[in-house]
Amino acid sequence: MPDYTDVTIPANICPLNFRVYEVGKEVAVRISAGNLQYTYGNGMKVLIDEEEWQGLLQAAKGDKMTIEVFVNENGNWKAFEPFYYYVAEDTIDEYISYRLIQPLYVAYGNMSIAQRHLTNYDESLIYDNTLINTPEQGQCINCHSYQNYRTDNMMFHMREGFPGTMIVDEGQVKKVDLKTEQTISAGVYPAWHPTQDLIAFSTNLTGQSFHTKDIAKVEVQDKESDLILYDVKSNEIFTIANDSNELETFPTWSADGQTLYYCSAHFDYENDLTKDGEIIERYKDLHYNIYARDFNLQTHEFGDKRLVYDAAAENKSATLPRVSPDGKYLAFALGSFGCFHVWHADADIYLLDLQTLELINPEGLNSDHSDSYPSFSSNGRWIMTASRRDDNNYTRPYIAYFDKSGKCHKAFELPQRDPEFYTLFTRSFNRPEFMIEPVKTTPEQFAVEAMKDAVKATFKK
Amino acid sequence: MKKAIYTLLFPLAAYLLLIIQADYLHAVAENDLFVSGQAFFAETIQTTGGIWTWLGCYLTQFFHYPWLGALLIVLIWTGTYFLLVDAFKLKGHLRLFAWIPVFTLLVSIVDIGYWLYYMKMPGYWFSQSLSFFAATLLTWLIARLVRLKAETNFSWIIFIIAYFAMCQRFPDFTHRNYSNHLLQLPFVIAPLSVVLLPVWKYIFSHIKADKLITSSAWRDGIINLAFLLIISSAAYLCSFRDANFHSEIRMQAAIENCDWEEVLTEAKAAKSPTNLMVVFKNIALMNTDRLPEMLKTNNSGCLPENGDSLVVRIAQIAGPLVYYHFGQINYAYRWAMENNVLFRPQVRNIKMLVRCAIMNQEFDLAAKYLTILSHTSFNTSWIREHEPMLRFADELHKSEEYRCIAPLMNEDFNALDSDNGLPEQWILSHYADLVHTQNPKQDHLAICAALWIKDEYAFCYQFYNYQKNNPGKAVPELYQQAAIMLGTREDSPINVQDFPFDQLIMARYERFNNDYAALNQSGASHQDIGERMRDFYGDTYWWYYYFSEFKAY
Repeated sequence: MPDYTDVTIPANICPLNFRVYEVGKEVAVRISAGNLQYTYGNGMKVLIDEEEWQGLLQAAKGDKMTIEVFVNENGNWKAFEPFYYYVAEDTIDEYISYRLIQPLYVAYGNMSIAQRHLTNYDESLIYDNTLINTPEQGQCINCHSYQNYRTDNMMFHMREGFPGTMIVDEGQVKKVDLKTEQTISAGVYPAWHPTQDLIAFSTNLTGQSFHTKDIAKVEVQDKESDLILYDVKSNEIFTIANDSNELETFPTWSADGQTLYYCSAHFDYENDLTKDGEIIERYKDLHYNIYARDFNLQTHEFGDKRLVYDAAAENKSATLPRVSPDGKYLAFALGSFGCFHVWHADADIYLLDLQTLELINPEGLNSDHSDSYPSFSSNGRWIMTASRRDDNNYTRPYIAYFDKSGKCHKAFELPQRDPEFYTLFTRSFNRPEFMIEPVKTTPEQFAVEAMKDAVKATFKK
Repeated sequence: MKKAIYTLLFPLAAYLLLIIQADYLHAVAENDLFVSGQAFFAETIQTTGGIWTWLGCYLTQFFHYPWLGALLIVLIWTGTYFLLVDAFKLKGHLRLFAWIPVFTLLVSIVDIGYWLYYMKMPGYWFSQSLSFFAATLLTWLIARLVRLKAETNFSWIIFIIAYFAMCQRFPDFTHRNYSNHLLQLPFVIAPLSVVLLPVWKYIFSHIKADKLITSSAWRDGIINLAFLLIISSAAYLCSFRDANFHSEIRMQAAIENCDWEEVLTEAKAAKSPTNLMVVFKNIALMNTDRLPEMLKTNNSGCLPENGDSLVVRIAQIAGPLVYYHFGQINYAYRWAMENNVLFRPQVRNIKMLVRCAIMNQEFDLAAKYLTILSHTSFNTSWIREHEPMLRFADELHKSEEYRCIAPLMNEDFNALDSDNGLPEQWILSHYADLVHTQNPKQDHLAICAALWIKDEYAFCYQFYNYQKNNPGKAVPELYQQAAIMLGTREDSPINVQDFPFDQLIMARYERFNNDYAALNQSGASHQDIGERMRDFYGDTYWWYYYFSEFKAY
């Protein structure tokens, strides 16, 4: 554990330490690549030297390294079938960020947004809610987002205590209030425009209820949702879509910024007086399709919506779309119903070839449990997903190589120094995002700004 | 020799005071968590006073054996006392003042009551004493190193610096809009009493009271004993002694061990049980196939003692355990997770997460939580008992928990719902409204739930359902009582003539009505009538229906 057998890894990843779960007292592992050969073992753990690992990676680049496992069982050494780490020529973005959060329901306690250096094990805080939490009022933080993998323009939300959206605009932090009288909520799911100072947001009235038997346990639903566009410089909000019979959400931009993709479910309330009850009752009727609207970079006007993927026709629901940097593929999470696939075990990542409209199941990336929140690395060669394959409850980042031919290789779990880390760690890795540089704003800078009053955004028709 | 005896008196009294609350101390260990390894250390150490939290969590585990945990903490306190005496060069009766901070630390452990469940400070029970001990030790070391003269009395300055240098968090007793600042008082008095030591010294040296008093051996003894008696009694009086609080803890422990008779013994002993105790009692009755006897012991719960300024909720005290034993595994899992997140990680919640994962057949998840438990100190036998259930279905099926819970998990539909934080209300409404019961256990639970919450329509439905599912079986007396009472109403769907009700029960109901009418005519208040009729009819549904109030919390 983790299962690293025959995975394809980047040429700049940190060592893939693992633990062997076999009957025995100790393990010895021989790793070889080219002329290099090293042996490791620490009880049942395999802890690889970081310098030696760099040599192994270089020797195996574009090829593979061989891992031979031997277990000492009562004095007899038992050999296992060797397996391989295939080392791709392509490197991966050096940083990812995620929110660390208990797989919770209603209550929340400590949560943080952290960034991780992928070439080693260094993790640092971007922000932690305990910095300004009070016992009377907790603070929820969520939905970190960056402009085009860079961190000088980034954002995340704060809710409950000291509410507002923290926006880093060319390195300067500010806090804004995106709730207006004309919108149903403040901004929720964000998407920075890749080149302009614009953020598309969904606005959502969200609720949750609990399954009595289904081990999905929780259902999160939007009673209403729309799309808005926020101009970072002018602090103005514009409507993108607000059809009362449509639940529009999860906006995302194409790499050239000329198309906005989003999800929308058509839902006709049969009885307006019991909206809450009805949407809970009919939770399996919610099927999200993927739509697109052209965006004029000069006028900031949107074209008419067009259907990109009709999930409802297949009795499915598509969420969390992301476009590959080369604009060829649209990745999204597909499940049977609803919008919160992190709790849906049947949810998998699918790729839509935007030229042929062929739907591709990247099997190497998916599992029997929930796989959601796909994202592409900046070179488009790596796809990361938030997967619950380890235990069906805790979300972990899994990364798969997506080669030039469009094949997705077997994914590997984000490596940790201690192979037992994921077993003992009781928080989920939520919303994993690639970055090509670390966030430079310190947690303390965010905290200072967070305690100030948010500047109210203005709604423009 | 005498001095040694006097010195040992307070530690002994403190130890006894702790050990008489062994049930509470064991619950303390179950309501805290220490996980060996770097991840837990790294996460704990990040917070203010993290090292004390980490050490506190480690030592709190020892309350698993209350005598051992109590011994450890008393040793720390005794050490603190001796260090204070030496650092401040206290002599004669002045030494008694060194017990005051120790006394406040003792009080801080035994006075928190229901905050046991709501406090957000892991390792609290040891961490405060440890950091205080460390501050005292540092004071003593520095005092020794710089060889301060007694006359200079600078130790108090060193202590203040050392105390703040420990970076201990000031305990906070706040939950939503409720807070109890009184519980913070020990942490103000403890350092203050140390700072005041030189003041006492000064006063004693000037009035020469110390010399005066120590001149007589018998006076010496009386003063020592009186002082220790006063602070021991004060500590006892400051402790949270609510009988129901302790009874709930013992019942929880018994339920976790499926010791149903122990639960019922506790229930019988309770004079005025809380709702939670009533729920526990009925879980025990249900699992011994005696649920229709639920009114033979007090079924009218009261609110928990709220002397500590806290609105207590079943969801947070025992929500997971209650849901679990009513077969609602997802909701048990949810509340175990919520409480772990909202307050602090707890062994009992991790155990509940294991149980739920096993029952839901999420074995990878159960293995994860069992691994976490294997990094704690005193849960090896619990792990040994549950680990085989992941691998062998037989091990699970032959367990008492499975025998009790499986019949209730056998519902045929999934509902999307929310309990609004009221487990008792949700469970009873859920079962009272159950349309298709699957087995005798569900039959009884559905009908008893309807009676418990006095839902007449649900009772009528479940009564017919019971008759249909159990043809030819004797109808329990409780159901007959309810059916007779509700059947005599004009619009009732139950026709009393259709059922062969026991004539004795019918006659008793007639007497009940007559007695009620007579008392009513005499001008007695409703409450008074209830009290006067309790001895004769307290075990009947009629009395329960008219004179008890169901209020979930």
